Amino acid sequence: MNGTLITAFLRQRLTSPIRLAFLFLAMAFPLLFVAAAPATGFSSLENAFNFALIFGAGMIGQDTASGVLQLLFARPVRRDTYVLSRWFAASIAAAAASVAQVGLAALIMAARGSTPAAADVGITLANHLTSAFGVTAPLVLLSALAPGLGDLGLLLMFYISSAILQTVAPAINQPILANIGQIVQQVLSPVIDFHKVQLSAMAWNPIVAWASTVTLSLALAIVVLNRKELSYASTS
Amino acid sequence: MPRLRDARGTTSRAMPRVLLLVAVALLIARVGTGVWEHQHPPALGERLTWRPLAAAQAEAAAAHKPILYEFSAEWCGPCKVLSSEVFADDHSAHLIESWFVPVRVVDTQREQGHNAPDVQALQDKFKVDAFPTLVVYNPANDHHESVVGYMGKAAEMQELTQALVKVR
Repeated sequence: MNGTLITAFLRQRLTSPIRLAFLFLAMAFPLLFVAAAPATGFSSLENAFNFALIFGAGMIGQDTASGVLQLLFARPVRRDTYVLSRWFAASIAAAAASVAQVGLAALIMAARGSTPAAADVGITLANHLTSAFGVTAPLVLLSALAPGLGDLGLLLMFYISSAILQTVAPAINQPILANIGQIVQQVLSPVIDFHKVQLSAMAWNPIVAWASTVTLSLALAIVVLNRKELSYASTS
Repeated sequence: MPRLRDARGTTSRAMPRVLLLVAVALLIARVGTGVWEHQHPPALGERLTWRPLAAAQAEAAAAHKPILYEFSAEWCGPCKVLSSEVFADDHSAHLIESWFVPVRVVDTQREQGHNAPDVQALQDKFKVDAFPTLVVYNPANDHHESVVGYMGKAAEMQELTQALVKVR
């Protein structure tokens, strides 16, 4: 990974007014729910999916569309370093926002007389951190495939397809289609539900599945970018 | 196209061989653990002893307790959270065991396309259309109260306490 690439990416994201506006909304709305109903615990916070989208969308595609990638690869930067730095920077940003949100939610609950148990806070933080580093991995692959914010379009298309499969499957009595839809969703948003892991005496599959999706997405993103031929011709 | 190499002789487009190997190994492990855990479901850490559906009525009559039906489904995420936060918690599980005869009713509509007749009959009787739904049912007077969804341990236990009072 490359420190300069990571810092530059974070600076770019944190100076984008649109992303900051979405960040504020994604941060504030769940906290309002927590303030209104502190007894519901951390269930209103979901996971770091929204933050991963806010920081990660277009992480490679926007560089491709704007011509930054051509400039960047004219320098001695390895493409795998670039991909891993992009993923790590987006994940760190999403994780930081998520940790801040969990911390604020815990403070709000405590102030409203529903202090969360330390175990609850720990499990929620673990869920959020793994989802921050997980969701950004398939996103980096989609971003390597599509220019601009095309990764969001691809993500939406896959989600809609999997939702259709899961809705149609019971009607036509084909449970395998529902399973395929579920797998697609799991691949698109790799998270580990530590509530389930805690509940089970031993459940390695969710952890292995998360690690498998993350590594496979990153490896494929590097392969895709390695095969990408960039035009250095002037378009003006 | 020839790959450009830097001063150290390394290409800027190096194949991520180690990462690919790890990814393939994890993919194999993923399939392996998935098959293994499907065939050997991990033991749940719940502190409740769920009673068989058929035996619940007799036990409830003998113990003068209402029945607590937990309607859930394998794919239902909030049901897992309910399990881990309430049914796996010593204190909550002890209270539930002392107040009710607990019975788990698992919906299989999505997996198998249909439910067992006794499961479907209960879902129809209590008009269950969301998971998790907890139904506190007193067979002695045929009264019941439903708690739909999961809103956290404290709220759930409060709802169950109120339901217990209402069905008596």
